[in-house]
Amino acid sequence: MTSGTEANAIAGVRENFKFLALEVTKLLDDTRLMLVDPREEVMAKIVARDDYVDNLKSMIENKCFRLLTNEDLDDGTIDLIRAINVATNNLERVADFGVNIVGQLRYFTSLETLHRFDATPFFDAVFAGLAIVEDALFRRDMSLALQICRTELEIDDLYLAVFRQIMADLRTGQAPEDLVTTLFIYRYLERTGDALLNIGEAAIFATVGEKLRVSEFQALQETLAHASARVGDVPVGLDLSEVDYHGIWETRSGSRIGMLHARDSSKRSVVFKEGRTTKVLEEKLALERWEQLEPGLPPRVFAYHDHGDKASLLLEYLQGDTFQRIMLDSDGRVCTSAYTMVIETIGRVWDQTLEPTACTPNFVRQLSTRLPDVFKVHPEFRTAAKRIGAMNIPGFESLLDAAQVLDTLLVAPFQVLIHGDFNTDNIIVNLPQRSVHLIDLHRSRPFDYLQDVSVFIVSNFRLKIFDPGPRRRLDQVTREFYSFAREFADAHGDTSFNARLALGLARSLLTSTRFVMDPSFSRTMMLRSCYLIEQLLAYRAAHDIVTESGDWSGFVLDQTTLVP
Amino acid sequence: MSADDEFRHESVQDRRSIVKYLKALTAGLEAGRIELGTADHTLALEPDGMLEFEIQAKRKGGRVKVGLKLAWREDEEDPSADALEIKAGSPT
Repeated sequence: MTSGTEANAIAGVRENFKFLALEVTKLLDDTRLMLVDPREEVMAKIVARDDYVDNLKSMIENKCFRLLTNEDLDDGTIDLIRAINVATNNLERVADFGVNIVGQLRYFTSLETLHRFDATPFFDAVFAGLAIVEDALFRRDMSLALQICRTELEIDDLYLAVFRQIMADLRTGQAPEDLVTTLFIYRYLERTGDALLNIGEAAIFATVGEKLRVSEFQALQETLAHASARVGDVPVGLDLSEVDYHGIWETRSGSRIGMLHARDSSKRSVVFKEGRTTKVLEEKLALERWEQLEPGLPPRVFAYHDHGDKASLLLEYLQGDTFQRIMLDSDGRVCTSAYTMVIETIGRVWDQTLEPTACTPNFVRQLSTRLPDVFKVHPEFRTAAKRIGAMNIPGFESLLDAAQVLDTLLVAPFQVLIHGDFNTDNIIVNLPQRSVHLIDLHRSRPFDYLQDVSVFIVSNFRLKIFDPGPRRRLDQVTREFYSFAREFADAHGDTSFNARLALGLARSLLTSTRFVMDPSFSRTMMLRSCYLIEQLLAYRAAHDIVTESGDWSGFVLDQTTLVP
Repeated sequence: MSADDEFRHESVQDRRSIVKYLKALTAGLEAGRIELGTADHTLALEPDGMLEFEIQAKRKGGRVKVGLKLAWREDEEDPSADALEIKAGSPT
């Protein structure tokens, strides 16, 4: 399909959509009339209009789905088609609400109760919204889209007043049946507002190409406003009208991350994060701490905006590649160069932040809190105890129970400032500028450095990459990183290094299985984790270690356990 | 044989730790009774008579596999039920 016929097809859909919006408006106007003066002929018109609305909806759906079969559509058109579909469904729902409202009329003993309430402002608000849906959507007009969204707030306020009045009247005990029926009618009007909100959000989606909830959109707008107002020396100065928003992902912690690219290339791109205030604030504080430690290592904070239980951050978008990408895509020389930069940076951070305070990493406890999530994905991990002749083998959960004691026995002699989620894709390397940056620092804290070391190693392990080239690079980096950490341990008298790392690896291998769906690979990770725990328990038993001062220096961590 | 009469255990071991498993098995072989099972169900095996024993090893693409297989037949539960009855008689 050429772009010309595509434009024609969209124009055809728009024509149908225009009629749909118009028909829904007429149907609701008839509904309004019925509430004032129920008449047979108006009722008949409503039924006919509802049929027509259903037909229009099917026509639009058919055209949209047919359009979507075209593989050459650009993202903007696909977004528009999706938005048209959402808006169409919601318009049809509005029509259904109208039919539902008139359906309630037959339950009244007398219309006197109903007529004590004035539905006009509800209908006015709905009509105002319906009048602009077509333009908001097809002209991708953000301010019209937001105006539609605001209709919902207006209707909610109106509904609240009616609801309270009905509750008060019910308490007086007069005509409760008619009051309840009246409430039902207004409830449908309130839901009409919800449907309009969906339409407004769909129009925003068609405009910015990303599904933002209105509250998030406003947060973004306000945060951008704060950024331009507050950070004088940084050329952010972005306005929503001049940026493209790309949502990257909805993170597991429920926050959203998006990227804003300025259309004007002289302005820089920024990262927008929104989530629960406690989390976002934690991240902001951590970023400030790292910035103080080594300026430029974390992304700069351009703005922080707290709006109740949600907060948002506007961060510098760092140029460069993740270290993970570099390991996978670059040749050995580039990879070595990036790796050297990474360990130089990490070595500096460890040296500068080392405090001679003992630290119990509690790896088994950390593991236990994630276990329910692991079982949700891998119920097959729950295994019973087994017996082979005279040999007893504990079941999976019993093994973990037995491992709990290890938490009290394995203590780091010092702590450093750790990243807290030291996956290789949280490390950004800018090769031309020879700089390293760390992102996603919200779990950063003074802690056992082996937390970071084990997460780093397992983030390489768990990549399902078996091509010899990249796999060899990943495994080499893992071994090198192990040696680097081992040297640091030796230099600082950390004698339980191997044992603690084994437990850290066991934790990370097992908790990572919740992101690994492949049954055989997740099983490999789980069995590896069990092996490490069995080794630790066997060493403990053989050396009779009962306190944290026990000697783990003889524990051997076979390097083949570090790689798949 | 019902599905109940199955036993499976998978693990990762190293050269030293695997010996415990093999010893448990050889002890069972020597005693003529290998018990395998969970708390709910034990599969008691009594290897006797002729045992087929197969050792298979292969190396492919950096992966090595060694398989040990032991197989034998055991008598049905009631050996007398289906026994042949042979009577001696004089030729006619």
